[in-house]
Amino acid sequence: MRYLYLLLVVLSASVLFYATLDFPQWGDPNSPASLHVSPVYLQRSLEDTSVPNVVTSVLADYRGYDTMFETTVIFTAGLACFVLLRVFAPKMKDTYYRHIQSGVVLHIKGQTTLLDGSRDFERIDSRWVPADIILKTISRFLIPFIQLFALYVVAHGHHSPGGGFQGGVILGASIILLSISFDLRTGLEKIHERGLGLFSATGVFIYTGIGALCLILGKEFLNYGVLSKILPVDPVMARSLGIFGVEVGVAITVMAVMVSIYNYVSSEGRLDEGL
Amino acid sequence: MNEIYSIRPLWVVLISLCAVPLIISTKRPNLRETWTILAGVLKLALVLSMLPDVLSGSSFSFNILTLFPGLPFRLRVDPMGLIFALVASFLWIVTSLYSIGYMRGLKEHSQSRYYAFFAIALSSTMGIAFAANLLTLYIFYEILSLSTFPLVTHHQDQEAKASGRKYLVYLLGTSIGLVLPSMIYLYMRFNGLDFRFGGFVPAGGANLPLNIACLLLVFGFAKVAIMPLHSWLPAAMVAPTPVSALLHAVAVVKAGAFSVVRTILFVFGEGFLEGSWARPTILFFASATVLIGSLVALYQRELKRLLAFSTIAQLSYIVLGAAMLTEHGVKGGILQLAMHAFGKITLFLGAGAIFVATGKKLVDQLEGLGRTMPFTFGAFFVGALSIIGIPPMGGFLAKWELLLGSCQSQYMGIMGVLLASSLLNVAYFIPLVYRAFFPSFPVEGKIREAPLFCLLPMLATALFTILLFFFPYPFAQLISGLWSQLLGG
Amino acid sequence: MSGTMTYHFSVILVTFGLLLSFITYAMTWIKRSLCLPFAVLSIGFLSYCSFSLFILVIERGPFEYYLGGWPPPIGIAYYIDELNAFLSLLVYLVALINLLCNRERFLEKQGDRIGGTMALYILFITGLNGILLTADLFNLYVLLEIASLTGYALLAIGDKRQAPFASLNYVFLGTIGACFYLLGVGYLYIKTGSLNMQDVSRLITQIPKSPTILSGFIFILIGIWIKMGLFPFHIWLPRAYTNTFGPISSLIAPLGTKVMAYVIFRVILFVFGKEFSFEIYSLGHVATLFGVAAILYGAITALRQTDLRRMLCFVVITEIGYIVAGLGVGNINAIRGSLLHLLNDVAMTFCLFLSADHLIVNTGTKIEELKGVFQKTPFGSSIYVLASLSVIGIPPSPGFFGKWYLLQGSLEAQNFWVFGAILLSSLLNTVLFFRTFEEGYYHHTESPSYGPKKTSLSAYGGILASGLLVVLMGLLAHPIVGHIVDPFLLRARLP
Repeated sequence: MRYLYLLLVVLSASVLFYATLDFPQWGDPNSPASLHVSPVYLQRSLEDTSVPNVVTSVLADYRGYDTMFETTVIFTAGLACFVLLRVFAPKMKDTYYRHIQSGVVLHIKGQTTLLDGSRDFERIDSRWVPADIILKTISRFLIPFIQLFALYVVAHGHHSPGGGFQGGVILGASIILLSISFDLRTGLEKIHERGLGLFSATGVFIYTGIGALCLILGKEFLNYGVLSKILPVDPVMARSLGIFGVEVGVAITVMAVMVSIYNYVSSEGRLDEGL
Repeated sequence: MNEIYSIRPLWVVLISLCAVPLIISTKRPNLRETWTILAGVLKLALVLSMLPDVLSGSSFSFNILTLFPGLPFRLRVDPMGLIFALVASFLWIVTSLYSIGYMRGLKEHSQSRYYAFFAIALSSTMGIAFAANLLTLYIFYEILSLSTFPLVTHHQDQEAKASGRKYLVYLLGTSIGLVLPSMIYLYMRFNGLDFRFGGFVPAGGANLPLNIACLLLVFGFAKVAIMPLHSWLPAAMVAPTPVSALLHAVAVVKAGAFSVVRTILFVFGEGFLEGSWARPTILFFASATVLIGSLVALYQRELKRLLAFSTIAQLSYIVLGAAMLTEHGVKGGILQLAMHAFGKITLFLGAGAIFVATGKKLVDQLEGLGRTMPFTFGAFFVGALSIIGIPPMGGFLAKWELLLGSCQSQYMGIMGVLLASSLLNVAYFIPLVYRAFFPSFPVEGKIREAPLFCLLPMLATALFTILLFFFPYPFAQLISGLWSQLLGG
Repeated sequence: MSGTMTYHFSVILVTFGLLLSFITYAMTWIKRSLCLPFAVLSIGFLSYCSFSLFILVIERGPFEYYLGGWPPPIGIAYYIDELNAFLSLLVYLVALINLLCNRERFLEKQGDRIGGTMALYILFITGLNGILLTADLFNLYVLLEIASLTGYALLAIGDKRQAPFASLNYVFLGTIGACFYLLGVGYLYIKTGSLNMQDVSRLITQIPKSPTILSGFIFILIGIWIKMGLFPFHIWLPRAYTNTFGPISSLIAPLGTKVMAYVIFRVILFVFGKEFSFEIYSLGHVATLFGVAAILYGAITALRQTDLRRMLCFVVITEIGYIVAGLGVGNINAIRGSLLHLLNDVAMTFCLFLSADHLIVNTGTKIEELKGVFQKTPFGSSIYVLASLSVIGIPPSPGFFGKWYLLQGSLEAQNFWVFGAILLSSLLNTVLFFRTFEEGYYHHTESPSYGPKKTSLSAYGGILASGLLVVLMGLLAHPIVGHIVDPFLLRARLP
């Protein structure tokens, strides 16, 4: 059997090598791929969409329909985690409270909310390690800057590398950082499951919704130009704004899905306490 | 000759299907059986209503659907189909009445299912009778095989299971494995499968694939039970007797015989078969079946199995008649289709009546029963005489025509086969009846005549067997109508 | 509704599928009890759209839809013809009937997660529809990802512990398949610079002998074959479909593989073209080989199974074999038969899995546990019998018509391998199904307490509807060939 697998690998590899016989030269400006549609994108991107970054205009406009599905793929990943991992009936775990001043930990059998909201006690997880003050403090400083940078990346996708996917990932990472450096409960206090669920759906909904809006305004799906009917700009600028709109949608979904996947996986779907 | 475009043939097919939901949903047995009888009477009336027109040389046709380009799902009523339809729809009523007595007498389970599948089987039989092309015939043929499966295995025990398996393996195996490829080949070659008297296959019998196709069709319609594809029929005798009576004396086996006659006369025809080697092969196997079937029947201890082997032999008469391709041979074959039905159903109903009244199944046990059950055995005797072919029974007419046909044909040996078979028939029927009336030892016991519901249908069919000798008018007229079509066309 | 609006139905079908699935999921966090009714309404609405689209195509003929207003090859286009519109209608009908039939069971099994499950359900059929309608090779890949991902997630829902593992196994193999497809598309792009099917097809005819194109062809074919479960790439299929939750298997088993089978035809006939595939390279022999092997392997292996649903999985493998073998024969009647069989198979397999699931709920998963089930649920069993007979190919069921054309085509091409394999597998299927009938039919009891488990009226309705779908496909076989399959073949310049 092992030899059969080896044979398969060799076979696939030889097809791959065979394919290269006919490849155009590396970076050849006369290769078919650089002659057919690429020049059109390069030459017309700015005048069609007023977006200088060609990658963004191809991604979100010329082939924006693909990107919509890519975003949906990410949404689906979050959805799959929800459906497969989320457990609504939590196992009866014990509850731990720490006296903030003295550091004494109370272990209470079963679930309780007895001391929630008390100033002297804070709830901690069963696998709690004494708080790392350095980590916490640095995270507290960094997170706002990370988030600000994320927004910059989203907004600046028109001009430089960036866009919704990248920005969304950075934004999500900032919240995951919060959950890791404090605990899952803290993260969930800032943005809870319901919010994440709604955000993940809203993001893709914005994308698809903008497409559908174009449809309602009487043009093809995702034909942003027609948005100029309701926006005070010309069709080319409307395309640019439309692209920005969908980028924001992408960012929201990517952020929410990243965080919710972390939440579900780290807590085995119970969302009680994380790692 | 003119065609009448009419929906009537479709109604004939559908009317028993329409009865199925009523039969299933009705809770009260009396009402349920009323539906069956009502559907039967209506069906017969519709068939009879087409008789005058067909006798005067018209035919009815109706297109239901197009299945493939140039190949519609089409019904067409011609004299030959009408003969079969007349026989089957008339005998359905008789058997239904008989079923009531039989099933209630033995307190069988799942009677609703029984009547429902019976009705479906009859619908498909009518479909076979009226099919206008080979594919339509094939469709109904398959439905018939499947709808009779629950009837054959009605007892749902181990024996039924084994027989049911055999039944399906033979019937579905041959129809999918032999008929279907042959049919597709013919369609590919001739771009249509419409029956035409004299065949749509062009003359010249040397073509190898066509010869094979012909043999595949004839053997593929395994319901006709030409040896070596016969052994499903004795196995199917585990069914309740009315099923054996109607299906394995009339509907199913005759559907097979009918399909083979259609194949020989309406697909390949005289022109092709004259010079082919398929025809001698068919004649050989059919003759062998006649002789071997009759011989094996001699050795049967169980009455229903004896009748089954007798049926196998008698069915091949029909094939022989058609394959002779002479005027009298064909007439005899088609007459045999009708006459054998009346004779054999009488015998089966007799066997069933004996079983209901006494619980006896074996040939040896019949000794002396004739004294206490004179009506049953009287009818049985009439049926046996008709099968042997002794006047004044209907069976004689068929045998006569067949013998004449064999004289006309180049195969004189067939005459010998027919005569030998008749002698064998005498050998297994006459001692049986004789000993029933004149036992070799005194018989005691309190045995009474069979219930009235069983007795009356049997007497009716026996009476018809005799009447058909004196008044074969509709059948004979239809057959000569068919023949004149050939001469005219 | 205006004419232009019906023209937009093509895109509404897919994108509104997305929108509605997002709303269904969002509903989880707003009002959970509304998720299921909303999902039912959504699929109902989408089925209506699909029906309108089908009517439109039948009336006006095929048309293109430019997404974002960019004409291909700059942008992405949809190409809607009779065949894919009809297939999309079938997909929605199957999804709708399946959901209506199994509403209670979904609710019982998924509880509070029902919103997410329904969102996946809608996304799955939306993805399949996108695959059917798109005219862009890369867009097809993206949609393939949607359909696959949702499929993996749905299949991992199971009564048994093996379900997630079986699904994981499928994830690995499915990903390999998708990668192969993507690699193939990449090669085509290197040599042609385009992704639009029509455009690529035009460019390929100029460089038919290029090794890169050939490699792309091989990779695309293998990728799709893995996805459609063709022998010997089928190993993920039986495990994934057997262990999953019943209503999911009756959704994915009929749809997943058949839609991929459609893609094979689309790619071979409309991207590479008949000449490239059959004349320059001998796809015919390869496809015949794989097809015949799949038919025989599926038919024989099915006989060995003891688990009912696993047995049906091998029947699916056989059916895929028919479709590929017909493609291998390559003449018009055989390909007509393949396509007709593909359409019919959606209805047949669906009815088969749905009714078998009903029997399984009433008895057990093993074939020998079926004892007496015909007496227990006569209605469900009769639909099961109907579907089985159709798979065997008893006329006038739909299975018969597909097989007829396949047999005719292979006879015309004198391809006796395919001819014999189809006949043999029909006979083997007869044995196979009658074995299950025997279990269910014999062993009757007289005890009156022996009745079916409580089944809601809508479940019965769903099973009945699936049976009716099978009957209709059989009766309408000729119009389907004439109005749906033949125009497709005509555009492929086949005759």
